[in-house]
Order: sequence, then structure tokens, then C-alpha cells
Amino acid sequence: ETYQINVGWAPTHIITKNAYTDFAESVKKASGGNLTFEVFTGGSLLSTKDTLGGVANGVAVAGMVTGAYLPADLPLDNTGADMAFVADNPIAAAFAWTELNFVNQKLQDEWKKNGVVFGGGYSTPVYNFICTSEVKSADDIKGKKVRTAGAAHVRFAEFLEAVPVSVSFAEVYTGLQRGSLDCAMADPTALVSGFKIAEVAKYITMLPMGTHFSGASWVYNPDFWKSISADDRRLLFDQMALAQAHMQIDYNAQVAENLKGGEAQGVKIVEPDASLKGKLAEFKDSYVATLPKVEMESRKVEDPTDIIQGYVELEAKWKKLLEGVDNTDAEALAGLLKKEVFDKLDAGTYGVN
Amino acid sequence: MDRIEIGSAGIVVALLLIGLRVPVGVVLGLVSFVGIASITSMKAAWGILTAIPYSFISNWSLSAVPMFLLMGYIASQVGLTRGLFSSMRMFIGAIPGGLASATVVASALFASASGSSVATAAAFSRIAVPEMLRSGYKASLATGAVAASGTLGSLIPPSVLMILYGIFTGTSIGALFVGGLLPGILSAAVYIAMITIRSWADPSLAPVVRETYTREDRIAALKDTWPLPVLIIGILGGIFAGVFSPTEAGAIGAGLAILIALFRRSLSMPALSRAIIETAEGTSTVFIIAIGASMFSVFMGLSTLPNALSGALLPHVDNIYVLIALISVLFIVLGMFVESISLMLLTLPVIQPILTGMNVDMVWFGIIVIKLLEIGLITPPVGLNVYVMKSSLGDQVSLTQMFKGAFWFILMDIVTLALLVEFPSITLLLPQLMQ
Amino acid sequence: MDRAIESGLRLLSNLLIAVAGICLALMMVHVIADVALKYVANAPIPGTAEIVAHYYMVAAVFLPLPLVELNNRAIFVDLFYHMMRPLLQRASMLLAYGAQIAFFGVLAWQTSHDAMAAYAKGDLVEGIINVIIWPGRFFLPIGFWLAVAVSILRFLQVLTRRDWAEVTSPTPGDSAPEAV
Ligand code: NA
Ligand code: NA
Repeated sequence: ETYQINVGWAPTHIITKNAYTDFAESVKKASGGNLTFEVFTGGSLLSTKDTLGGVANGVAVAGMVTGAYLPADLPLDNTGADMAFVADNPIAAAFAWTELNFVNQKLQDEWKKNGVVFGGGYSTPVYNFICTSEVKSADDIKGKKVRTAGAAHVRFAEFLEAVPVSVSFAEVYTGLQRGSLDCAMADPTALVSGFKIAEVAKYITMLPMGTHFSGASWVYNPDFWKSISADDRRLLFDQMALAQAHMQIDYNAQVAENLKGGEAQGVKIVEPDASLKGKLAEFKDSYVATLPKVEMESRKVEDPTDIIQGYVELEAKWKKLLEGVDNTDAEALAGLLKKEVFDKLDAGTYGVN
Repeated sequence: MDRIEIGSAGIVVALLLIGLRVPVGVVLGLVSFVGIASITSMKAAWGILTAIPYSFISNWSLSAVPMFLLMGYIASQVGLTRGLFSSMRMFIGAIPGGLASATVVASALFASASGSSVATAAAFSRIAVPEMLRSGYKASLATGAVAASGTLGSLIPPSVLMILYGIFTGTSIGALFVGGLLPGILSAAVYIAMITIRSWADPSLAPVVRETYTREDRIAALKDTWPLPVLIIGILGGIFAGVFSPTEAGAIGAGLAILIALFRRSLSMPALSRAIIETAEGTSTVFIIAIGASMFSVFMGLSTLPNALSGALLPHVDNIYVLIALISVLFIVLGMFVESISLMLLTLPVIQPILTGMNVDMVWFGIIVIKLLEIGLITPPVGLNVYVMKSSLGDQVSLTQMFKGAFWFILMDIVTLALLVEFPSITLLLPQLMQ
Repeated sequence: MDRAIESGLRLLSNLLIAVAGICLALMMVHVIADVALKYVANAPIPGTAEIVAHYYMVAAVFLPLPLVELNNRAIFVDLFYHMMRPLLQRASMLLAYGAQIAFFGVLAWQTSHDAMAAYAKGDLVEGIINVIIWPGRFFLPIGFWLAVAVSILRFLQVLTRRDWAEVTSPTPGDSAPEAV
């Protein structure tokens, strides 16, 4: 049977390609055509913001959710968005976040409350500053108009005495071109393959400002999830593990390619000096310590210490596990993810009851 | 019925209901609701109602449209447009269709900054159309000129549509921007040629001015021409200097119009509040249609009609001219019902591999696509540029006259397209020079 | 009887469009202030884009709807309508208002639920600051329910009144350009 699945990002986005277009193809193949997914991208069916509700209502049977867009629906999940600054290894972050969402009952309940079944996470590469003028020191960034993505970034920009600005991604290009923006906080894939801002930016400052991993690569409509057989659910588990491995490897590869492509278009790679690095370290220290309290106040959630602690522990676990395998080998990474996470799920009962 | 049949039936029913005088927005929304329910489920159709009306409207980028409408209302309400058009009548009134041609030029300039076609049409409908009507221009010519030259907003850089095309297809946005410049100017030139020839052949379209003016008359007339140029140059200058973004430019434009009116002591509170109330009515009127159109695009996407048509027509073609001709027909037909961004998303995955296989330059093709998508803004039944004009002009000009007027400009767009296809260097010359 | 109802509805509709008008004026002032502060003091007003999108835009689109309907100024195509005989014209007007009741009705119903759900979860967006957005959600059901009421009134008027054609023809705008 044919089912609609939805991702709000552009057709060329790394998540779209790996977790949707390629995923749909390999699911079709693995199921012998029994599960055929028709992919809708870029908001042609549901926008990024509407995907969670749309999947719950059955507009699509599966979709990609960006948690940061839905702070009121996913307050606990957004704790993940706020932990952005902690992560420095995207693969470990993605797999830890995936595992945590399966094993933490509070997170499972939050997905259930929103009418969907969680299927797997993701993590972007590490964020940097992409600018039209050189940003090397803490003084350089002061007063700069910076495009931020998410509450954590806003707080860091303000900590640096920069001016955080929120504009849509279509406006980033012209904003940098005309000078209404000086910098964008983005991962390097925004240079060439994403927003294509290498055409208008001149510098990328390699300050490691964490990754972004709130939300889910896939949430499923519960009626759909129940309607397919346990074997099909197992097949989806396997395929999601594989797609997630491909996606994170692709992300890492794209970072390298984008930095190279960006340099070819005249984007200079800048190493931040001690003053800027010091600022980041200072911010991180105070940030993590106060995070549970801030979360309880700003998101009005019960003490999220277990989520924060759980993530930190799982991230450490995954970093260790990843040391033992080739981080560019999709089969190996997927095998690890299956063994540690997906194989522990009961395809007969998960998301069914 | 299978999905493609439901989609086709939806188009037929929609056309029928529109023909029976059911409001356009209501038809598009209601047919989509029923269509989506029959393709997927009732629950999913309600889900679309939860998503689209609110998410579509609660969008910062769209705010330029009501603000430019307000600017137009204020400018026409307090007579900011009068002086410039009176002196244009004096100085270029002898040129057949001169006012319409001047409007095309001004619109193209404005388009070069705004980045949005609907916003450009919103800004110019109240500024230019009433003045042309006052000079005895036929409504179809006056409105056609504004609706069509509004479409240059996406063709002359910068352009939101080009940014999206660039991201969707992995094409250089900078090359697209530069590549759109000459085709944009060419489009405007072809429009002007058509306006001049038609007005010359049929003076009832646009009566030429036969009075002779004294030197004193002319000098006196020049004194009051400044408000409109100041307004437009202020907006363009601010955008290009990076003081404000094209979206913010709408509010700046409305504020600047009020400021100029205050300076000329021609602003009254009643006039201002009337302008605001009429802007509110116009905003509601046009966006109800836009919501319906957006739902209809989702309906079409779920019906798989656009991809099925592309998949049936295109893959077997091996001649580039035939291919582009077929794509053009496809985009013009689908563009009658599906809005621009969805149309790209639904068809490009089918089209791009074929083009890549034939080594087609994606910048060249991108400009052709933008041009084709822009035609969709002035074709019935989903022609947003026309609807934004209709909502700002009210019952003075009928929709039929507007679409009839737009028809001539669509023919000219086809001429331009043929030139772009035959002479790729019109598009590619500047991007190549840039490298 | 229906005249009394109509003036009641008009009173409410005028009230709504006044709110929409105020929101449009605020949109202009707010954006100008934001640009000015950004340019002069490098200190934009946080949350401007979010407030414009989730309050002013929503108000400007959905609150004027009832008055648009009362003034019969929704956009329609009357090319074929003018070729019809009066009886058929009347039938197609009934169809039009019937369709309108159905469409605005489902929208009113669904957006009421959505507004309540947004209120229950305290819906907000996170930009530079957190902006509470659920109140703006209520502009939709308010506009749609009143538009349903107007459409029902018009439907009944077409059914029962002899001067139905006049009642349903568009009223000219106050500042419409002079006819030529
Ligand atoms: Na433009
Ligand atoms: Na169209």
C-alpha cells in the first residue's frame, strides 16, 4: 500500500535525502513493495511546524519534527534543544538522543500525549559563526547582528553582547548580502549545500557552539503504526537505524565538503582566539549548571534533571562505543545502533499499546 | 475513483462552481476539503484545516502585502499620485499607451527591490490604475499592465522564488540573481512594445493627449511630481542600502506615504482611517483566496496529478526544444491551479533528472521556470496578482476585464520565453561574465 | 426582521474590522520602530516578527471577513452569471451562500477547537524572546462564526426577499476610484 510521509525541509536537505527520499526507497525494496512511502518535501503537504499535528491527524503517516518550533507542545523535548551547547560529537548526540527518547518514560509520554509514536532522532553538525566580516576575538562579535536558531543561541549571542536577530531562512541570504545581518549561527552545511550562503559570506569562525538535536527524524501516526504487522515494524526499526547512520555520516562528510567548497568560493576559515573561546567556556559552565532550574522556570516542566543527566550519560556511553568502530561505515554504525537501541524494542508491543 | 481521477474531478467541479458565481476562495477551500477527505480520510481533511489557514497567515514575510496595500491606499487617498501622473500626461501623453508603459518601468524598478510579485502588484494597483482610468485608459489595459509587471518581482533579482529554486535544485543563487536581470528587462521591454503597438493601432485603449500646454503650465505641473518618486526611491534606497529588508519595506512605505501627506498638509484623520479600513477589507479578501489556493495545492499534491502528468509527458522526450515546450505547457496549465512553490516541489523531482541527463544548464532553466511560475500569478482561476488588484480596486473593474487584460501580457510572456529558449545567452551572458 | 438582524451583525462586524484596522496601524508603527531602533541604536525590538505574524497578520486577515461578506465584496466571477435567467441566478446565489456556510462553518468549527487547544497548552513561539501566541488563535473562530451568521442571513434573504438581487450586490467602497 502507498502511504504519505512528510518532511518540511527542502528536497536537497540532508535529513530529507537520507531519512525520507532514500529511506522510502530502501523500505520499499526491503518490504518487497509492501510498504511504499510517497515523500512530500518543503511544505508541499505540511510545513515543518505543522508536521507533528498533521501526523497525529493522519495527513501523513510519518513525518520529521523540529522540536524547537513547538515549545508548547514539546516542552521536555525542548530540553534537548537547550542542551545544544553540551554536544560536540554529532553522531554521539544523535544516537544518545534517539536512545534517550526510547528509554525515558517522560519523553515517551510526551510523544504519546501529542498523538504520535517516536521513531528516531538526529543531530545537526556543530554550529559556527558564518560572517561577512572577520570574527576572531570576543570584541569582534560585539554589536554584530547575528541570525540565531533557538533559545540557547539567543542566550549565547546576548552573553557575547551581539544582537540576536530571527529571520526566515530565505532571508538569511539577502540579509547577509545587504548587510542587515552580519553573521549567521549555522552549521557549515549552510555554506554550499543548505542556504548557499558561501556566495555572500566571507568568513567562518570555527567556534564549536554545540549541535542541535531536538525533535525527531520520524514520528509515526499511531493508527498506521498499529495497522502494520510486527514484522513490518521490525523492518522499519532496521531501516531507521540504517538511515540514521547514513544521515549522520552524510552530515559529517558534508561539513568537510562545504568547508572546502566554501573556501573555493572565497570563504576564509577563521580559528577563534583565546578571548572568544574563553567566553564560550565561561558560558557553557554556567549554562549546564543552571539548566534544570532555567528549564523549570521557562518551560514550566517538572524537574528535568533525569533527562539532562540521562542525555549526558548516554552521550558519554556513545562516544566510547563510537571509538571502537569506523565512523564512516554505515553498516557498522547501524549495527551498533540496532544492537544498543532498536533490537531492545519489542516490535510486537512498542507504540501499539 | 483513484486519486488522479479525484484530482481531475476536483478541478472540473471547482471550475463549475466558480462559473456559477460562488466566491473563488470558498470554492477552492471547499473542493479541497472534500477532495482531501476522499483521497485520505475525514480526519486528515480536518487536520489540513487546523494547519493551513493559521500557519499560512501567521507568516512574517506575508506582512509586506497588507503594508504595501496600505501604502497604495494612502497614496491614492490623499492624492500623492495626482501630480506625477498629470505631468506624465503632459510630457509623455502623446506616446501611445505612455502611462501604462511608464507604470511597467516603475513597477520593474520596484520589483527589483521587493523580491515578491504579489507585494509589487499590491503596491502599484492603487497608485497606478485609478490614474490611468482617469486618463481614459481601458480598464483591461491598465490592470493588465500592473498585474503583469508585478510578476517581474520574482524575475528581476533579488527574488524569494529564485532563492528557493536555488536551494531546491542546488543551483547557485548568485548566478540566478544575475541571470534574471536581462530576462527581466527583456520582459518589460516586450510588454512596452505590445502596449505601444496596441495603443497606437487602437487609440480607444489609451487615448493620447492632444492638448498643447504652455511653458507655464508645464513648470507648474512639475512642482507637484515629487511625492511618488520620493516614496519609491526612498523604499528602493533603503532596501539596497540594507537599512531595512524587503518585508520591512512595506511598513516603511506606508509610514513614508503618511509622512509625505503630512508634509503636503493633505492628510486628514478620516482619510487615513478610511485607508486603513479598506486595507483591512482588501487584506481579508485576497488572503481568503490565498488560503483556498494553498489548500488546493495540497489537494493537487495528494492527488499526484502534477507528478503523474510530468511523469507521463516528459521522460520519453529527447529533443530539448520539445522538452521545454512540454514543460512550459505543463507549468502554465498546472500553474492555473497550483501555487508556485508547491508546483516546483511537486514537479522538479521528475524534471531535474531528465534535464541533468540532457546536460541542461540549471541557471538557464531556472529563469525559464521562474518566468513560467510567474505566469501562474495572472492566469485564472488561481491568479493571486489579479486578485490582490481586485481586492484593492473593488468593484470599479471586473475580474473578467482584469483577466482579459492580463491575457495579452501572457502572450508577451510566451514571446519572451521563446526568446529565452532560442537565445540562452540572454540569461547566461551576465553569469558567465561574473565568473 | 432580517433588517434588524443585519444591523446587529453590521455593528459586530464594524467592531471587528476596527480591531483589524488598529492591528494594521500597530503593524506599521511596530515595524518602523523596530527598523529605526535597529538602525540607530543597533537594538531591534525583540519579538517584532513573531508579534506581526501571530497577532497583526491574523487579525488583519480574519477579523474583516464578516464585513467583507456583509458588503458582498468577496471575489467571484460573474461572467456567466450575467447570462443566466433570474430564476437560475437566484438558484446559483443559494448555491453560493450554501457553499459559503459549509466552508466557513467547517473552518469555524475546527479553528474553535484549535484555539481552545492552543489556550490549554499556552501556545508560544521562541524567537529572541518567548512570545505567547494563543490569544491570536481566537481571531479565526471569531471571524469565521460571524461570517457563517452573515452567510445564513444572506441565504435566507435570497430565499425570501423580492429584492434579493439588491441585497446581495456589492456595495461600492468609500474611496473607490471614479468610474470611467
Ligand atoms: Na525582485
Ligand atoms: Na494561476
